[in-house]
Parts: sequence; C-alpha cells; structure tokens
Amino acid sequence: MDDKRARFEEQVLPHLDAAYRFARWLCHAPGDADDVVQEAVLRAFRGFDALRGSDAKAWLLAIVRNCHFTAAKQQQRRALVPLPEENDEVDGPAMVATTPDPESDSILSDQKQVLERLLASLPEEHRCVLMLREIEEMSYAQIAAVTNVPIGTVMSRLARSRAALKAKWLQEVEGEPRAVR
Amino acid sequence: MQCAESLRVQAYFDGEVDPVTAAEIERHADHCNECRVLLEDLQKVRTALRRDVSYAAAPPALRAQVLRALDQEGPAGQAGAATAPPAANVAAAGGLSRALVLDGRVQRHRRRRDCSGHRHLCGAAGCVESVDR
Repeated sequence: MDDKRARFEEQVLPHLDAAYRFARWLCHAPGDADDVVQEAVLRAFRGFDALRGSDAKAWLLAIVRNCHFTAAKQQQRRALVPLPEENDEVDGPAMVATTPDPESDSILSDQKQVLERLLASLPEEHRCVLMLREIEEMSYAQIAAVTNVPIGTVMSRLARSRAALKAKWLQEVEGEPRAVR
Repeated sequence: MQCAESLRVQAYFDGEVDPVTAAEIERHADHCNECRVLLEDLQKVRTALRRDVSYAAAPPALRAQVLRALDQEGPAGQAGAATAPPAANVAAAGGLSRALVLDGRVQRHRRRRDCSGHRHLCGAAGCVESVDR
C-alpha cells in the first residue's frame, strides 16, 4: 500500500460511518446514500493532498454534501422527462420518509419512528445542522465548514430546527400545538 | 417575545462560549425564566435525538466496495485528477468534473438495468461502462 493510501485510510476512512449517516439523512433511499458515499470517498482520495492540517471529518462530510446535491440535481433533471427505464429501483426502506404515508402512519407509533419522521419533515438545511450538532457532535465551526455557511447562520438554523422539532413533537405526541420560536 | 440572549444561551448549551461568557449566561439564566426553559428544552431535544435516532454505521458491503474502488484509483489517485479541473465548490477534490460526468453516466447506466446489481466500477465482463470507468 502506498503512503498516500495509507494516510488516507488512517485519517479519512475512520469517518466513513459519519459520512454514511450524513448521507442517509440527506438521501431518501439507502442505495442513493451508498452511491453518494462511494463517490465522496473517491473525490476525497483524489484531493487528499489538499487536506493538510484540516479537519478530515468536516472535509469528508462537506464532499458528501456536495455529492448529494450533484446527484439530487441529476435526479431532478431526469424527473422533468420521466422515462420508463429511468424508474429507480427500491433498494430498501428509507431511513426517513419525506412525506407521511397515510397507510403506514398507523404503524409509526413508537417514539423513535415518530421522531425520525418529524426530523424528515424539517427543511433539509435545518435537519443537516441539527444532525451534525446532535448526532455527530460537531462544533459550530465544523458545521459551518460542512454546510458552507457562516457560523451565525449555523446558530440561527440550529435554533430554528430545535424549536421546530420541539413544536412538532409536542403537537404529535401531546396534541398540543405550540408556536415555533 | 424571545429573549435577546437566546442565541448566546444556545451557544452556551453547545459548549461554544469561553468561561467568562459562560458565567455571564449562567447569571442571566438565573433571572430569566425564558432562558431557563430554553435550556431545559435544548436538553430534552438532545436527549431524545441521541436516544431515539438511528446511528447507522456504513454497511460492511459498502466499506468493501469503497476499498475496492480505492484499489482501482491507482497508487496515487490520479485516475481523475490527471484529466479534470478542480471543482468550484470543493476546491480540494481534484478530478471532480470528470467524476460528475462519470457519476451521471453510471447512474443512468444502472437505471437502464442492463447491469442491474452493479455499482460504480462494476467491472463486469462485457459491460461497456466498466471499460470507460
């Protein structure tokens, strides 16, 4: 194994799980997340020489996010002119559903499923900062690097997403609507 | 009406302030009911998320697939970097443009289902995409 590959495996690949989790929260289908992560790792490897001294986790997650946006744009273009052979295969259950399915609502009774569905209903940019902070435990500076926005925007998005999640949760679980701060 | 200190209180909760600021915010929260409630709410949201949200690890198959793809990148990862300009949005990732083109081709390729089951770098005998890749 050459030196670059060895350093890459030591510094970047330990964050593969984080990259996958992040991709799962960004993508609707697990298969799409796999593709995004694989493409992101390859891009990271090709640009690895530029990483010196940087935060490998934030750097890799930023590439995951960019790969997701690229793939999403391609999917949007395909959706404009749907062709029979372009229908995506169903790779398995999504980690999150973007819209509640009335038929499956009845089984979304347990707390975990409700929470994941509520998270999925948040705007993507808000969900991203919330998951990066609470699940990946990243600092504001790291989140700003991943999402390519100023730290002040990270703070305001975090505040909005937390308030919105709490309000949705109370509405869902307790039937008690609250104003979103 | 939201307390003007709410963002600083959130930063305190997230461990993003220095000790002096932390002490100021603690003194403020002692006298501000809204900020005390905010701190409680922030903790509830954090507890719920860390307790109930899935912590998916990368599947072993994906990990193996990534390692195989890296093997095919060559010893110094020049597969893309040698021929493509750097991306505007990820300046560090050389070879991005070529990767984007290939990514689109591979995705369309997979969706045509004539190589269903293959992923990137499928390498199947007779698969034209594997030759280009």
